Amino acid sequence: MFKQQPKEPLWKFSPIPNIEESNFNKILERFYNMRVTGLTRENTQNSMDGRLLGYEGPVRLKIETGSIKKEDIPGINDVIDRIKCLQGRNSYTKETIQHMINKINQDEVRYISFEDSNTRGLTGAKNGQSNSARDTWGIYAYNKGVHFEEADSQVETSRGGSHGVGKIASNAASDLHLMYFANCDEYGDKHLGGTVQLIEHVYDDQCYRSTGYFTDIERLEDNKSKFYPYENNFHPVFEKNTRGLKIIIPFLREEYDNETEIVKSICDSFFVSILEGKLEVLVNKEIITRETILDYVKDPKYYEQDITEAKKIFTPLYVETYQNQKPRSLKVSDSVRDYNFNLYFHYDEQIPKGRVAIVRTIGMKIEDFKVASNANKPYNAVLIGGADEDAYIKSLENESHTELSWEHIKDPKLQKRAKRFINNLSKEMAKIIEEAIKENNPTDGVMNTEDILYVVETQFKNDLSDSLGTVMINKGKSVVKASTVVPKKAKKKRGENTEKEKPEKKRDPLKRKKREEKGTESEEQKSTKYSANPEMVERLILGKRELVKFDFTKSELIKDETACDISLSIIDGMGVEYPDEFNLLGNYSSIADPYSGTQYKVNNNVIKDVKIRQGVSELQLELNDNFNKSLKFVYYIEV
Amino acid sequence: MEVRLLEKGYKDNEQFYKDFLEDQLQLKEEYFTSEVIHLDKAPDFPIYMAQGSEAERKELFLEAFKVLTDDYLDTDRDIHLNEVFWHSLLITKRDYLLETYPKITESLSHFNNIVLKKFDWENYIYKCVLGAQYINDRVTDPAQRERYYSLLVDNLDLYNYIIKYEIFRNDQFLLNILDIIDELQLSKVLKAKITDRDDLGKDERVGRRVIFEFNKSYPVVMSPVLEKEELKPIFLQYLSYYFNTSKLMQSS
Repeated sequence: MFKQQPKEPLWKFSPIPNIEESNFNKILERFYNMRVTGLTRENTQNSMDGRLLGYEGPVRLKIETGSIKKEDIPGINDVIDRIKCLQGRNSYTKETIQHMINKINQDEVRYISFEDSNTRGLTGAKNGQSNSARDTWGIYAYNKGVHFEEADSQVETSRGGSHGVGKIASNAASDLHLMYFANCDEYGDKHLGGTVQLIEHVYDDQCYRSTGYFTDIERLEDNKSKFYPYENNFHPVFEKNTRGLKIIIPFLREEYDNETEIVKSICDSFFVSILEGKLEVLVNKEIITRETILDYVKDPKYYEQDITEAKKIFTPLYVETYQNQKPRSLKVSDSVRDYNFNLYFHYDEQIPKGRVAIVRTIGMKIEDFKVASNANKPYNAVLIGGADEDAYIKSLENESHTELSWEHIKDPKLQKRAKRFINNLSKEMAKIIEEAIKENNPTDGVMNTEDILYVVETQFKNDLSDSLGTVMINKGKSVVKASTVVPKKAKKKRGENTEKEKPEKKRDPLKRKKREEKGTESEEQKSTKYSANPEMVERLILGKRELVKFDFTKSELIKDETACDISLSIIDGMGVEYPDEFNLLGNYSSIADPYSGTQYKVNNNVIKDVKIRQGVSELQLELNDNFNKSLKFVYYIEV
Repeated sequence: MEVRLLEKGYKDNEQFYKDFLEDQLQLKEEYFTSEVIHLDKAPDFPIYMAQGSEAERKELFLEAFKVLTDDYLDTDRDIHLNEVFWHSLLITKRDYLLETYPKITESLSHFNNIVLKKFDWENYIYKCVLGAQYINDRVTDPAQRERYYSLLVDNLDLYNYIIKYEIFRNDQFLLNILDIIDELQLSKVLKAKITDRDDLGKDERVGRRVIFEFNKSYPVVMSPVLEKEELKPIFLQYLSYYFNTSKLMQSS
């Protein structure tokens, strides 16, 4: 049955009538972007899915990197011949092909292999391309985008994979998009297969499909053919002698060749599987098991150990949370039914970013879930459901198993439910986070918001008095900061505050200048202008009437005067002053002396000749309808 | 991708500009510090929208929101709100920039204005980063996000004015204002020039004045934390100073 036909190349490409597609498979690019993490994850997950049914012990996975002579790679010259005749039709394919060409001349190349045990391996290799759902070899070796469905539905739901794209992750890791798989089944039959992902091409005047298979072929009548695998008599790197599957990826990309990253991605994605004793991984000489995982997670060579720096990688936190917290139950609804999860939740003020590890029962983490509006709260959590939850979560996963999403769901009803679910998950988590925050930051009774307002107001007053000085006089051209009227609060400030200059800096220099220019002009002619310290102005609004009182008694400069002019500038929320913004006549229907009832005149937006009685001036103002009662002013006094 | 952060002194540097045009920047170590920011992906996105029709600009904005949200906002705030980071990133996108904004080659000032623009409320990336962040932090439903993006672009003048003031740089305030505008169909009204108030200057817009009223009103710190329904009457009151709102009042 396994006749070796010496002239037949070891790699087979299906002939096609003409070339239609000139691109590399898009999924390669996606996995390429996920780097070694994506590769490790896919292969580990495949091994876990293939665990022996009824066996309680751990799945063992051996990951090895090393070098191999090019000539020891089965059929490599067939692949190289094909690569040499590829023709790129756009810049991306051209670039990729050039990259492949640059790599094919090495005599020794790097490889990575993933060998699992305590797993079932593929079945029915002898039947070749059989189209029978029971022959997993046929599905794995010769099909894309299909995955084998478990006969047992419970096993099926717990499987990690579901989109059937895992194999291609391995192709993406090779500079030549090349991967092999060695299988040993329960009867001890050993076979080697492989795939290469090129583009459609012309070879010896014949067009071929993009995918090549490392496989034997049997020619049938009517020009039909059937693939059969080769028995595995190849170089030891490609050997698989115990039941299970071994993936071998030659021409390993340089950027994938990083043992530390491999160890980290195992810990990142499968910490639950490992802690539960369902998985043991050997990476060259590093052994990651339930007993040793902490050595890696707590090793600064692998992970940042300072909690406060955990901003992207959260594995050490997750491991701690999962090990030390008691799970509580969390119910999340998708508006039709409820799903029940176990939540391991940990609150710690030091944690800079809050994330929830969403974990499948198989132990694989899907996502570092960000709870909406809570991504920067100090907590860490691990969320695991049961079989039903698993099935549901699985349906929400995107193709690369790295995110819960609803976008890939076609049925609008299911899509809506998925959106709901993801939103509700955020909501429920937000409640727990809030609770934890409250618990850890107790408040005594109800907060009195008056205090806040008060603090804000005084703070503002302080800032203002600092920036304006107590009283500023502009005599001629020089500005003097007088300290005659120093309120108590200002005194305190002076001692401690070194940032006095700040509010002034924030001001818009343009506006400020304008004011000063104007000021000097008028003052030079006749009078001196002061800005009134807020401490000496009292303002009261009652219905449509406003009363303003200026207390000049503490000021040596003014108290002997009998009348003054008053003008107003608006101060905005940023402390910027707007001298021309407020129109007196537009806002007040009348401005009068409250004692005599005399109406004061307004000239150029200045209230003229306001009486000063024993150092005190008072104004009674009637408001127009459109008056904004929340305005804040600086008052300028001219004498 | 790794972005090497620029050393101080690159701004207004003629040599830096020349080296950019001649694609020599990456070869000169003296322009860079030893600091590197790692990004998983750094796709191109529109960085300058002062060109094209209004509809084209909107497309550009929406694209920028999308790309920033997908691939840039996951970084820490001290990265994606850092001017040097953006400038360092942009100079790696030389081909894209030259193709998209050929003006850059005309003069140093165009280069400064498009690529090395100060990272404040007048900078398009800043506007988009802040907007995308506010909306994404508050809204998880993608359809709603789209709606807010669209509202924001339609009311850009107002948005500019809002983020100009530090006190209003707040997601709740922004979203509330956008909601109110949307509910009452005020976009046009707020964009309109104020014609009958010579005292206000020539190019005053209704919307800007309304935001300014908020800015002037004490205690100003409170308006960003108000709920939408509490904010609405105040908004309408301020609007009434500049626009006849009697019809609006009736219908709401």
